[in-house]
Amino acid sequence: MDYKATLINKEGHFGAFGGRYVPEVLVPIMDDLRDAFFMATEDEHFIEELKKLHRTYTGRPTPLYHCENLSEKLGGAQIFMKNEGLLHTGAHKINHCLGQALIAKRMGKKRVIAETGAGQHGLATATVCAKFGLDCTVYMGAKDYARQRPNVFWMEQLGATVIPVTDGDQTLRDAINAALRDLISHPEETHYLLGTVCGPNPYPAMNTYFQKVIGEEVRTQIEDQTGGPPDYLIACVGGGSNALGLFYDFLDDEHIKMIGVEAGGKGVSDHEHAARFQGGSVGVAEGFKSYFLQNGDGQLSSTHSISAGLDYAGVGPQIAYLQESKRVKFTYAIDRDVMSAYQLLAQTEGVFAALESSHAVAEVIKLAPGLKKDQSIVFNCSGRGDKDLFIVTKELGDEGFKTFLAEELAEVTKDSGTA
Amino acid sequence: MKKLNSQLDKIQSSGKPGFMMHMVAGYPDLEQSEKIATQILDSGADLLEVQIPFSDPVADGPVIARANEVALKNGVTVGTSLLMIQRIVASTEKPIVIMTYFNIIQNYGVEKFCERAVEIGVQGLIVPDYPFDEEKDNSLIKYAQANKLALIQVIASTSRADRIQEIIKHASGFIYCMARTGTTGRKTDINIQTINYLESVRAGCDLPMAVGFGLSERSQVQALKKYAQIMVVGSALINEYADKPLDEGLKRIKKFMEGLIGN
Repeated sequence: MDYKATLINKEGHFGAFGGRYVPEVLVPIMDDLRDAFFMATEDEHFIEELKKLHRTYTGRPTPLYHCENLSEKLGGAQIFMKNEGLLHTGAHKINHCLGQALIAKRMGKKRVIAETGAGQHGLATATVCAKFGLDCTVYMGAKDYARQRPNVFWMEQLGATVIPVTDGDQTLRDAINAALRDLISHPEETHYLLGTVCGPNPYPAMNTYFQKVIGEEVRTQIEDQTGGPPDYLIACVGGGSNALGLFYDFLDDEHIKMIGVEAGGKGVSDHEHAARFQGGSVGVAEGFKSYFLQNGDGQLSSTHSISAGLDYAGVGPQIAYLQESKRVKFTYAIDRDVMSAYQLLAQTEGVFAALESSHAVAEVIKLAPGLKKDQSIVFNCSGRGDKDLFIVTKELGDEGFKTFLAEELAEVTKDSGTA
Repeated sequence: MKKLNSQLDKIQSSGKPGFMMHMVAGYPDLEQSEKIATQILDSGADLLEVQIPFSDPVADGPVIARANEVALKNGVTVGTSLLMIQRIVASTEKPIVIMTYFNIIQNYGVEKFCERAVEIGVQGLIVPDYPFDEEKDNSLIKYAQANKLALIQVIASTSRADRIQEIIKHASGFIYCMARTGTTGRKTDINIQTINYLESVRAGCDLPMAVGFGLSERSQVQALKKYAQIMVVGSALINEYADKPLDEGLKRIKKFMEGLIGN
């Protein structure tokens, strides 16, 4: 089976999934973007420029690190971490942001819009826009806007306009809808820099193309370190961009097993989770056909996860295809296990993984002890965890941090009182 | 489709523009929206477009998106929407069409939805996020045709000439032209580009043409009536009754439509 060829194709259909379910006004916009993207992939200058910027600006290649302490502690397989958290802006998101910014420039677009949940994709978008001199607007659900103030501040510092979206649940889905509406209203001058392998064609194929560098690097790096290919690949799955980034290059190596980890939230038996393959069904929304958490009428559900980056009712269409064809196995991690995984990785290896990536770590902890010592697991540490400071301190009930916040607040209030 | 076609013929031969008014089923709630439908029909609408609400209505502007949200919050379902539509159909001779997003139809079952729509007397469907290119895996065009249900195709001012021809090939009932780029609900200035665009669609199209997205005033109707037979009004009408007591809302609908349609 030729998975690689199937997952990056011009029509944007992956088995029954994907497609371009957009209002007619967006059809020419998506078609132009598709043509510009596929043309760029055949242009040596484009490929060179992308490579050069990865080397000099984003910080590629990222290290593949042998987690010897964690491997020893778990007593099974050798565990390797692909550390995308060391990239500029702290996560793999910069890979497709840089790629799409170069495409936007090639197309002569002056204005870039993006959606963001926790703010990481928005931050990466604002970063590349600052670098390339593009006007940047980021849509963010009003709830996310309120609870992710640090990222809003950084985006604004980078020159972006951040717009809180007050529709619906006021989270990521509403931000995507708002961004699509903006694009519908200003289709000619705007590039919509969509932040995962979701959305209408060509976004899933295009973002996979820009993310596949992760797995390509892993292939050489693991060969250098162990003399052979890995046995298992593990990544968390929100939309699916970091998972496809790690998996893609290995998809046609049949003996390599792959596991995608969804957000189990408070548990998948109730509705407070974001695990689409646990109770989701096939649907069409936000321009693509895939698995969605939805009710019997097809109304999309509200989701919950400790990590904002996985808190989304839909999953990328290529991911749905890999699930249906059983090439990738899907499981989930619940919030509580994610927190333990986050702490264990920090204490054994000195690495704060993002809460998203800690879902992958949670699966590593389950899987590794049952494997042999000469087997290897590579997991994608898709982002670093310092962005989660406020969530983690709250989750762990850290008294010192609470006092710190209270004192900061008193200080700020006092200053503004006397001003 | 019969009722729709004879109404379209009637509009064509009258020489006056016809009006298709839009509303969201279950907004602000089911009971009120049914009375709103009756008022709209009694105030001179030629066709009624009833939207079955969806949680993620990307093609709609803020006014209609909010109406979708409120309706869902107030508990309207696809089932109760269809029952309400059935009652409206039974109460009028005018054609009723359903507007909804594809996910609603695909969750109901494409074939089953088309059959049910015809069974309750609906004349056509408008599905803004279903381009004909996706027909192969979904068969909506096929089942609409099999059930003699008009699948009304949308053309945008950004659509290219070759694609416009393709869209027209798949169209039935009438062609729905968006008067400008953008989601529903902002006022459209009728300029030379709009007119050129409508004329270019007309040149390759034998079906009646509807024009919509951003219509709210009689002056716009006057400017457009030479180029299209049906005027579609959505957000502006909702704005008349949104957040108003029902009695006042109904009065305002009547007044708004009198102003729009003229004599």
